[in-house]
Amino acid sequence: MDGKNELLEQIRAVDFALIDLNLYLDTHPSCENALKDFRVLAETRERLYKQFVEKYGPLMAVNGATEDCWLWINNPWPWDTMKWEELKGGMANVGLRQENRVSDKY
Amino acid sequence: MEKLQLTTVYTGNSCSGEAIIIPVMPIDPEYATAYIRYQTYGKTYSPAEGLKQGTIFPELVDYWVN
Repeated sequence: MDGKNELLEQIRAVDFALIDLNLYLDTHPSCENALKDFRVLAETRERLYKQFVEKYGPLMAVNGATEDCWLWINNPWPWDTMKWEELKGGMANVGLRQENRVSDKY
Repeated sequence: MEKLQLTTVYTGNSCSGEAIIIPVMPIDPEYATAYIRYQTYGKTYSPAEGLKQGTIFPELVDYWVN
């Protein structure tokens, strides 16, 4: 599980860096150094996504049909791996109420 | 006065267009007009540090806010 979260964290970081470079390149399309860094990061992203999908299942629905079954619904939803105390804070707007959580009752 | 900082930009992208040299800030600024300095590419944070700081560009980290 630790490896999964670490990999996810790496993916988050690389995706963010790519978005930031994307914005920079929009106003600096001729910047060769930024272009070079973008290319390297895009390759890293590709590699990390592949690694994650092979090991832990789809990150996006488009990767959900690689086998005979629909894999997209197999993964835990974000709130399935969170404790109720964590949910109450940042994700209260999701509307998931404790009394409706089946996993707490059974 | 600070040293005049220049940078090269292309009128198109790097594969087309002609290279021109511009100052990063106007040399002769107008009254009542706001300008934003043209950013130049230097060192960037690692992706992990960038995610933490909210930008991969160290020069954009606002220490007054953080």
